[in-house]
Amino acid sequence: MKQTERLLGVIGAHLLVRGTLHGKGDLLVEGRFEGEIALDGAVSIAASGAVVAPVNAERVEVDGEVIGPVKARELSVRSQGLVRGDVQVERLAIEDGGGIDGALEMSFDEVGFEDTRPGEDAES
Amino acid sequence: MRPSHIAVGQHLVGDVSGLGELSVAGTVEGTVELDGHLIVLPGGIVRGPVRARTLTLRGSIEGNVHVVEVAKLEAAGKLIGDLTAEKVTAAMGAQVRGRVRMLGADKLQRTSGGTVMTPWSSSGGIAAPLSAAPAPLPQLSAPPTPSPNLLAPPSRELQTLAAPTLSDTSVKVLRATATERAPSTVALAAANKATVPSLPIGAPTLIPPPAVFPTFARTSVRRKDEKPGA
Repeated sequence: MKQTERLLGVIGAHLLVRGTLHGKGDLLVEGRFEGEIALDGAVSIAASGAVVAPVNAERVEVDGEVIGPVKARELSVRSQGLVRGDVQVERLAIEDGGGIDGALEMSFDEVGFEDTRPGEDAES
Repeated sequence: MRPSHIAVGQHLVGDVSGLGELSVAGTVEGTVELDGHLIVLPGGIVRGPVRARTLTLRGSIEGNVHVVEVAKLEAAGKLIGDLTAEKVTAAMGAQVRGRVRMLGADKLQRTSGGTVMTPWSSSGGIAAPLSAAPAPLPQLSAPPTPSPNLLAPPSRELQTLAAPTLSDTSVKVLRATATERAPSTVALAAANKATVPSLPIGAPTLIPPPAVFPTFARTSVRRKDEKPGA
C-alpha cells in the first residue's frame, strides 16, 4: 500500500542514528538507534535492530533488542525479542522465547475485578 | 540491504552515520555521514553538515556538503552552504547559495579552448579579434555597359551615301558597311574599357545588356529597279 510505504521510516541495517525521532507514521529499525522515539504509528524493531531509547508509540513490535522504557498501546515481544526497561502498555503479548525485564504497567478497564457494588474502583 | 528512509512528517534531531542509502522526505537536523547514496526528496529538509558518497538533491539542504563522488542537484533542489564534490551536475532550476567546488574540474579534457577559426584569416589558428572589420572584398571589374558607339548609327561611310545608285558601286559600299556594322568582339571590348566610366561598387542600377537597335543602314540587297527610300 502506497500510503503505508510513504509513512514508513526505515533505519537500515548498517545505520547508526543518535538523536530524537518524533512525528507521524511507522518506523522500522534494522540498525541501531540511540536517543528517543515518539511516533503515532507502529515501531518495529527487526531482529538485527537495537534501540537504546525511550519508545513512545501506538504499537511496538520487538524482534530485536530494546533498552529503555516503552510506552505503547500495544506491545508484542516476538521469539527473538528482548525488552529491558519499564513497560507501560494496554495490551501485551510475549511469544515463546521473547524476553522482558522491567516493571510492567498495564492500564486496562478493570472489568472482571469489580464487584457488583456500584460506583467503587477496586484500586490499590 | 533495505534502504533507510525518514518519512514525511518525521523529524530527526540528531546524527546519522553508516552505510547504505538514505532518503529523506521528512526533516533531519544534525550531521549526516553516510558512506552511500543520500537522496533528499522534494519537501525533505536536511540541516547540518552532510558527508556522503553520492547525493541527489530534490529537496533542501542547509549546511556544508561534501560528496565523494557525484552530486546531482535536480530542478527542485535547494542548497544553502558550500558544496564540494568530485563531480557536480545541476538541472535548470536548482538553487545554490554558497561555494561550489568540483574537484574533478582539472581533469576534464578540453580541445583547443579559446581559439576561433575564420575562413578568411591569412594564417590558421588564432584569428583577428571579432571587432576588426573583415578584409575588404576584392574589387569587382566594372560591368560592361553598352558602348555609345553601338547605339549610334554606324560608319560614316554609309551616312554619306545618301542616294545609292544602281551601279555596282552601291553594292560594294553595302558590303563594306555590313562588315563595318559588326565589329569584332575584341574591338568592342577594347572600346568598352576605354569609354565606360567606372561605376561605384554596389550601384543599384541594373546595367542592361548591349542593345542592338535597327539602324538606317541597308541590311539587304535591293532590287536594281527599286527606288531608294528617303
